[in-house]
Amino acid sequence: MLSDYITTVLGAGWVSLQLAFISLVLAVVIGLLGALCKRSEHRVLRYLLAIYTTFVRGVPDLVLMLLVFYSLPALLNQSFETLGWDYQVEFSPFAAGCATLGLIFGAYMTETFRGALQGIPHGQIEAAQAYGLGRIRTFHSIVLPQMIRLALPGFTNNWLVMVKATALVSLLGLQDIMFRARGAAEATGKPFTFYLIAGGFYLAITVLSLLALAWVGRRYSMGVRGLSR
Amino acid sequence: MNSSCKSLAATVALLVSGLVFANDNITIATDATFPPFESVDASGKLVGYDIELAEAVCKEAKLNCNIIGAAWEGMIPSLLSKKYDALISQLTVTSARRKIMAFSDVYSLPVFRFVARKGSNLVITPEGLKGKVIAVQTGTPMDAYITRYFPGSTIKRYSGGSEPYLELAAGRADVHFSYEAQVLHSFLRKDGGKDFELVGPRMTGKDAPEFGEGVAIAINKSNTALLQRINEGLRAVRDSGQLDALDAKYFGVSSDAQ
Amino acid sequence: MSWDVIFENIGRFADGAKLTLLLMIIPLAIAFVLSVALALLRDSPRLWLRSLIGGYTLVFRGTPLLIQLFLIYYGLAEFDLLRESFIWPWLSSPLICVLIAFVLNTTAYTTEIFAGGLRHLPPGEIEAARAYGLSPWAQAKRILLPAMLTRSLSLYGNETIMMLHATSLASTITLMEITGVARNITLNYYIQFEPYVTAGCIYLVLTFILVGCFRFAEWRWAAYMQPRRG
Repeated sequence: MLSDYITTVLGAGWVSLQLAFISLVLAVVIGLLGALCKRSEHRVLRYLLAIYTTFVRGVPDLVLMLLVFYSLPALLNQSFETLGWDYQVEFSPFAAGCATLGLIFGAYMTETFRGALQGIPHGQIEAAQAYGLGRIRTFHSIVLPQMIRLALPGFTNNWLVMVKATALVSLLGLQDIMFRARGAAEATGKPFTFYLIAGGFYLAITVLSLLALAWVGRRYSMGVRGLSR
Repeated sequence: MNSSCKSLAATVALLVSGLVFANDNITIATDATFPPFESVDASGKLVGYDIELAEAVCKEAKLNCNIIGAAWEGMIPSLLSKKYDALISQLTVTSARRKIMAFSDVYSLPVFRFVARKGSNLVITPEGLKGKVIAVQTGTPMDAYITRYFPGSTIKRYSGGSEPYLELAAGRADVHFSYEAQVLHSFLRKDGGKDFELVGPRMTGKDAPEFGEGVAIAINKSNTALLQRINEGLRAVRDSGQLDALDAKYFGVSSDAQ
Repeated sequence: MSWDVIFENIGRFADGAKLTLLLMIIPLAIAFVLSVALALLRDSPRLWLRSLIGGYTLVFRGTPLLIQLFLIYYGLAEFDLLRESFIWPWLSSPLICVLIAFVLNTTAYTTEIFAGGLRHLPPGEIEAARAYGLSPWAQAKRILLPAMLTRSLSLYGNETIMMLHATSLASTITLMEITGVARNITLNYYIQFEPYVTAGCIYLVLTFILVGCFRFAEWRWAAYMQPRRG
């Protein structure tokens, strides 16, 4: 009987991973757009971005999730009712979790990508333009590879923090590993066992991510001059 | 870039999942931490008395029901904001709740009781439990009753129905106040519950207004069509003897005898 | 909009804010002391010490705080040995469990932050201190500590904000800090917009104050590290 619970708990790790990956995609997209906005000449874009990052980094992850999952649909549905529309908006815990994590870590990725873009010597981009390379080609061949190398430490950190933040979505009712661990703990009266298993899962993801991203870092650092000894 | 378009589209689709119109597809939410009425089994499936009842009612009423587990703290507000169409979670019909939501016909009359460690010799009165810790599930009729009549005790409120038992076993709570059927058929039957016993008076809706008039399915007030169909389904389930069969299956007695 | 409910309950939010600050400041204070010590030992030449501290920070930075909290609050209560020991009256309190979990968690992060600051110290400073004949204790007090702390200031500021935000998790084990009050109000008054928005605003204000404090600290103590202008 205990083993059934353990299987279910570990199987729900897949839900947690899906949540983490989709949120990552969203965060990277927002981060890239945000980094470009922050470096843009238009003041409005810079201010909008400042408001966004301030808000997202000033409110706890849990409260943001509660806001997106409960408050946002309540507000929208109430507005729809007063407008007379027979329309209901509803987010699943998964969707609310993705949206919130994407928003939160999009703000952190913005900082990471902005710092990375800043670290690329502007002379290289000027040289590319002098050679007649178009904007997209410049970005793809010159900027992107170097940006990956420079952004990697911050990216790694953001990813690891986000993987752990997925545990909070269980509080909205998402049946991820944390939710299942809680259910199993209460049903069997053995909370230590199940929370340890869930903790082990997250630790494994952390270690694997660190190893994988270190490998990526080494690969993208080929040919970069290190400290002379 | 094709793949990012696809993932963006998928994200948008996920985000707007669940546009609810008034039709035969309804979402019923339950707080699956209350065995044997609603809980999640070892393989992650929703099981329990209320789950089977909801499935039977939906079948009779020819409704396409999607029964999902939800967090208790958001369930009632979500019904009001039409996130869910109905709730089945051993919800007691109280006058306070009637003001904000509609209820189907009552399908069960619960008995409320305290559970404590064997040999604790606690006197179940406001004076006897003064200074003791009473655990309840937050926002329930049990919570309302204890808050009103046991002001001298320390009240600990938990977001789920099963958490209080962990706390009781750990000794962080001296007593837990809940549905007698739930205590008897889930906690006391398990290994963890063998050192505990039911104590105190058996209380029903007649003993205090906080205990309400029985348990029913909750529906949004504006959805009169759904209310009618659920009542029809419930009537059919009762008339066909399915309700009695459920009672016998889970409790060995019919709900009227409780 | 039922903002009147919020105004009625503003006292509860105030009490919640007090608890939030308590839950943030006490762990940060304890963790600060522990982290300074652990950071100094982090790159010790002794393998067992390095591995022990490194293992500790890996485990507590590699698992969610929520799990650490539940392990300490629910998990430890499973063991009869602990329940019958003399520390049980403390361990049975949700407040103490939350404080323990927060201390363990933020010590791990802060240790790594301080150790990172220490690693970036120019080795010349330490060599000079040794050349002057300073004892290890004096070296630590006069050279290592000030440099380590000023270099870590901005990252440590981030960590304190993370701690402020982490206090919201205490609401999952019955503590009525800001988030707990908000969740309780949604349950009893059936409103879902106003309580969470109020909670969010309170956290925003507290974060602003905290950021302001660290900006001041950076200006006061770490201004020499800013890039020079003109």
